Amino acid sequence: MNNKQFYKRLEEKIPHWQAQGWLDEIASQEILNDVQFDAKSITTDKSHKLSLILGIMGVMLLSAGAISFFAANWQGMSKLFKLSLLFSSMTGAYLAAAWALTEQRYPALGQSLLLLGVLLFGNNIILIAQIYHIDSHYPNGILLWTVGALISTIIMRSEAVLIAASILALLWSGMEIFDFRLIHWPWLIFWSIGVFIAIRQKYHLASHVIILSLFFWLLFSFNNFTRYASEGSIIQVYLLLGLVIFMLARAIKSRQYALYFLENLSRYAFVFAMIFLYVLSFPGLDLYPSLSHTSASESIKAQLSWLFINLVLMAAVIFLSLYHLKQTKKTIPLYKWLGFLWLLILFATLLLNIYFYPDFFSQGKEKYTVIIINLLLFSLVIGLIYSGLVEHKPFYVNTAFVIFTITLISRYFDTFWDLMDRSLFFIIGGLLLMFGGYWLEKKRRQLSLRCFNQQDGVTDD
Amino acid sequence: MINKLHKPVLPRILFILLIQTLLLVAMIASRQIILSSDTVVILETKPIDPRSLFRGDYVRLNYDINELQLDELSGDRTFKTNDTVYVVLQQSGQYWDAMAIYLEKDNALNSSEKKANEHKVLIQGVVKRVTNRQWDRDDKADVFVTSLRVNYGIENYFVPEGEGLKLERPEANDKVTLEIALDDDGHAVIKALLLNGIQQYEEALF
Repeated sequence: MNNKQFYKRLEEKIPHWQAQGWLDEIASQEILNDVQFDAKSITTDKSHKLSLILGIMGVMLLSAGAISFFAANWQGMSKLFKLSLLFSSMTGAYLAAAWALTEQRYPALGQSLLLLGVLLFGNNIILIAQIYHIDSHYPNGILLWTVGALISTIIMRSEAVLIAASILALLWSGMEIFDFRLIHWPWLIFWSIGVFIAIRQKYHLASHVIILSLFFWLLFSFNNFTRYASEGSIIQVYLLLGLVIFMLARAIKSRQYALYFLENLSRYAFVFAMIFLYVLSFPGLDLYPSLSHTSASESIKAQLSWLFINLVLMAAVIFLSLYHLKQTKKTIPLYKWLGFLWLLILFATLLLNIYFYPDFFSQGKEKYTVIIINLLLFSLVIGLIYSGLVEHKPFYVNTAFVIFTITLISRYFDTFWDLMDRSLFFIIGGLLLMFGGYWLEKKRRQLSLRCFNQQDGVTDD
Repeated sequence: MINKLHKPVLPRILFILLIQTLLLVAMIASRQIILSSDTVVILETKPIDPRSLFRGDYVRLNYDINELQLDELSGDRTFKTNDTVYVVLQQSGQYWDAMAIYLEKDNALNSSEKKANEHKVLIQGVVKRVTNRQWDRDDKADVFVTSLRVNYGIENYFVPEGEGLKLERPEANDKVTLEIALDDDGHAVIKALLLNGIQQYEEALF
């Protein structure tokens, strides 16, 4: 519900509350004035955001123009002239930003110019590398740019520059990961600095970018981790890692710290974990942990180290889950215990996948673990819808419907393909999906609306 | 997104400007110092490829010392990708060739190859590829030879637009050579580009 709708709703409700004697006329007017002020300030904030967005788009164009200008006129300039031009353009952008930001003359323009200064700093690094034919380890150029951007954001507390710094840090790490095949731990230092600033300054948009950059970094690093273990091992570890981050974010959030950041971190981590649980649900992908080391002793050592990592992550999730259950003020509801049981079954399945695949139970096929994972996915859907409804969290309800739809479509194509006559299956399956989709969407909307109304504390009763 | 601080803006922005300018000056200075070094070697190349999309034309240079066969060199024997290495260069006529390779700079400086002759210098590089087998044309079989691809940070040379092709695909008898300045740590910077011994471009101090 937006503020205008809320104001209108209040206007309708307040006479009733006055009639009940809950509010007097002065208090009613004060409440309406306050909400009206909020609505106006949001409108002002929106117009400010528009100026900022336009400013940033202008900065991008200017920056691209500066690169093209230098590229086109490069040979016509002496080295000293080139360097003077580079430094003076960066200085000009920063001084203009200082003018616009002083006494908040033009704050949106000032932020855009500050960003322009940071982008020109990066242009200068690239162009100086060209002047001096520098060809050594090129990610270092992006590293230098990231450092410059972080310095700017620390000193000026600019969200736009922090977003740019986070993207640059990910770009730097991506180059190291893809071009130099490194598992690039130093990136985590930059990420931690970004997290600290985003939480301290309560930056919302930057929080999303920084959280997403963590999961992109993990995805980028996937291939390099597979040098040390099979894809199945890494997928299992990523699933557990997503659950650890999810539970950890919720545990810290329960202490009323960094609420916005941790809420979003837990949501993205949950989606991240679900992606890998979904990947494990595919039959025939052979995603079981295996080791490709040649010597037997190395294999045992490596296997033990992966078992250790798995167990540590599982222990962390269990510990955090118990902590979460302990935090529950009243009697722990049944669905939370069932959620805990779900986790234990998942962990048992993952361990089964590691140590009994492929021969022990399934005689060379992974079907038992895959069947259990699929059952876990579908039971999770029910659990998520229920807990989302009880805890008034539409996110879980929506996520559950997405998981259900995607998993159902996936199983439609891979599991049942050979089991029924194809054309008949398509017709019946198609109809079922269409009606199922319609019914699910209708239910989803009802549940989301109900959650939303309960969250706002407004009911129609 | 708004800066809500009320501290004076100008001093803080000037501080940012100062730090970023110092970083850029350090980048320039590190190159200018090497360019002013007295140690200059001439290396043979086989230019191969042009053009950077947003940096104009450039020549990709493939030096003879980029491909090293360990059985032809003395020094260390075991290398892996991304190792930093120190290659001892020896003057042979007009040009300089690799004669030893080490993982540690001190070992390279104290090596008998370096000590024995003053006309030897160090160049620092990074191992990009290690190959342990090579096809022997005569025997028509794989032979066990460890060869390294080493980059020295001097593999690109930016040239005026449209001139990249001339250097990258020279005439049959044309020879492209590079003058390389080196500092004491073996860091290398291109000082001049020569076509058939005639200087085409020179990197002046400013």
